[in-house]
Amino acid sequence: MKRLIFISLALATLVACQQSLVDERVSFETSTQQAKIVNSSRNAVEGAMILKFTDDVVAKFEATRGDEVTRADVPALNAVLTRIAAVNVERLFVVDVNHEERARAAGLHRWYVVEFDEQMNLDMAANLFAGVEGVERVQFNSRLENPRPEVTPCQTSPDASFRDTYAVNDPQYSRQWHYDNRGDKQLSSAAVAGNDINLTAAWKYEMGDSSIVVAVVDEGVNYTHPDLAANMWVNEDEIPGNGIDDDGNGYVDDVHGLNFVTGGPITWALGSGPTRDSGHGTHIAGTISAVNNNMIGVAGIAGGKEIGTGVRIMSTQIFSASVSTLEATARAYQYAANNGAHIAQSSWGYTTMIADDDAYKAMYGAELEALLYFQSTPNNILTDGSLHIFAAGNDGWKQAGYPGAYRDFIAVSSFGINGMPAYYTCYDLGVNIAAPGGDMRVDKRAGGVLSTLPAEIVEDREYPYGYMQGTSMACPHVSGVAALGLSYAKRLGKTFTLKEFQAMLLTSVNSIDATLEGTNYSGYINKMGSGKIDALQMLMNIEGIPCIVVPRGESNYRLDISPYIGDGKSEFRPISMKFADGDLERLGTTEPRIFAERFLMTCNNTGSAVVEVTVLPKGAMAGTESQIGSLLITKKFVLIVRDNVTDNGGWL
Amino acid sequence: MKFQTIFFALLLLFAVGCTTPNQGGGEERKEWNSTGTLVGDWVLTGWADTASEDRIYLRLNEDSTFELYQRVYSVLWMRYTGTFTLNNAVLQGVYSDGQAWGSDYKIEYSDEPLRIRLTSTADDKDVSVYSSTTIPSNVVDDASDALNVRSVVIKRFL
Repeated sequence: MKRLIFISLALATLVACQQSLVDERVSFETSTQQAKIVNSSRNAVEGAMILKFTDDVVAKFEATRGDEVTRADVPALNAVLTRIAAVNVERLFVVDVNHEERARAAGLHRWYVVEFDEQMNLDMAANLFAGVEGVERVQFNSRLENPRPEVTPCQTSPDASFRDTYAVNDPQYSRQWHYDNRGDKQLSSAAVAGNDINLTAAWKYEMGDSSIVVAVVDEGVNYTHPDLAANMWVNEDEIPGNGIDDDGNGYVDDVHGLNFVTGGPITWALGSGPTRDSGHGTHIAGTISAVNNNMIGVAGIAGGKEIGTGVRIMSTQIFSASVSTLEATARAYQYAANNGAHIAQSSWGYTTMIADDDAYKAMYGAELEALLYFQSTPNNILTDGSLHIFAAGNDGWKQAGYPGAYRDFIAVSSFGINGMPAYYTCYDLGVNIAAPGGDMRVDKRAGGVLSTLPAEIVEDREYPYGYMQGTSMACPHVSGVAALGLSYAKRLGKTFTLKEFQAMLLTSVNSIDATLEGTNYSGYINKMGSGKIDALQMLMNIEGIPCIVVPRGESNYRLDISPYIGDGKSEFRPISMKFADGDLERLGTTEPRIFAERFLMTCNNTGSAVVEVTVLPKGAMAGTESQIGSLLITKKFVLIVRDNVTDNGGWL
Repeated sequence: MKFQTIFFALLLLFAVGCTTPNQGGGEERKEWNSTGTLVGDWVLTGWADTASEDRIYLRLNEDSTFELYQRVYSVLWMRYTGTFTLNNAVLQGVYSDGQAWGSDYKIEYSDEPLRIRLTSTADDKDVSVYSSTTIPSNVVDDASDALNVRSVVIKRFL
């Protein structure tokens, strides 16, 4: 009834405004107006549109409160809202009273979602909005594709013969080759030792800290899973089940996160047939922080030393029964930023190839603003931002998919139990690093990544674990190592900038290229990122910085930086070396030149200085707005100038 | 070895006799002495007037062998082994791969706190100060044998 009254009033208004509507009728051929429409209506949600208003219109819009869809003092906009029978206009980014000032400074308050008659042609509605001066951008609320990955259940009886030699009492750890690959042929005939993240060695130093929070932006995480429950993030300021937004963050009963598709509780087993949830989010969460040493199931990279001490998983659900939208995605990252996540773990991406950052920004403006809002949110370890880790994609492209390919984000490629690039992995442009994601063509069972799954998804409901493969599985290995690094930094009382931390992560690697020479995979050389992530190296990078020794007085000494990064076998090309004020003079040198991928330097005085060295993996280009590419890696070293440089590297 | 031990003991006795604290008219105690304790575990605390921390450990054994644990070129601990000799307060050494140390070092000692100072005979700006310590067990356990590992990082333009 309310809606009928509204429509009647709207018709009356429409007559009165008809003249002005005619005057302001959209010229469909106006290129400026067309440029406001940033994406395609193909596969978009019916009856919805995302708009970015100018500051002026937002101010007028906010000045009028109440139930009316239309607003005073914005007649052109009112006319369109009336014309399309709009039923709701609300902020895309919800008001979180604890962070509203920051959200407004980032411009998030200018984004709105309009809901209207689902029968309305989307393109026509978009054009109507684009014709309004106060509308800066028009974006269709696109659905994201969620191809269902293959799930292979885990055998319930782990082989006890090699269990006892492993670091934790979780019985399936011996099958998690991706953490510690001993080349065990009992596990898989394809297993090659060393193709893992070197986790057992890293665990001597750190196993995870419960103050570190990882947002899993994915399907919902099964927060009641016996191997996850103790490590789930809990919103302490929210009283469960009372139907009230106790903490004022814009959401009700968001105890472990939220389902941003429905705006309601987290789910993990909805849908049926091809739309059925797959357990994807739960599997990813387990890789990062399955509970360690609880004598059941699997281990998690940063799952803690004992029950309940691991890093926390925040479930920011953007897929629900195969439904996902830009609206849900944008809100999820805002939520992660406002509720304390250090890392956003995103094993998703667009299956349409996007050319470069400019194109991505144009097409997915609201989402990118949300991603950048998260990235610019400082936390207790990273002083100026938070970390994005994305899967590179499974389409085998010679570039990473977006958003992971965006120049400031880390995109992860995948290798299998034999250390070779997985058949599906995207590689080359925009790929930053490699991690184990499994290759079940090599071994159709054990070749996958083993982790937690909802009991409702697996065949054996009594044993909720299984194998999956994909860059989706590689990505949480990097997120887990990053979480382990943040935990260790907290233990040592250290803080870093986001760029410093990204650089440490991307240089904590073992060469993958060295193993590809002379194989059928040689086409992947210099294209899998900086190398295979190594958890121990990451912790050691947190502890301190390596040295470069340069012989004193040698004219134009040619310094190859590659041996000083990772295991020394990956190749990097130098971009720049910066000194602090006074250090050039103190070491009797000038700023190094670059020639034939070496630094050329002459240092005349014994001494040392901290320098910042910027590099790129060999074969990579720096990403820019118009060129997809890699993150520049800027890493600190101690430069030592002395006479006594031995060939074997010994200090004495 | 026994000879070396006795020699160090005699030197120490001699050093005690010559470094009696000043009690109104006697010789002043020096910070660095020509005799002292060499055998033991040491950690580099300063080099070329710059403080160093948790990067280089040196174990000098009574049988004139040494173990050098360093985290210099890589963030991971590497172990070097070899032998050393002490002649006329000059310390020399050879790594197990046959390569000589990059320099000979003039050695001086300090008692309080227990330290040694190594100054390169080729460059008097190359001065290392080591303090007595116990090498952490994780350093010893985690170190890779640098001289048998292909990934030792030094490369030079030829």
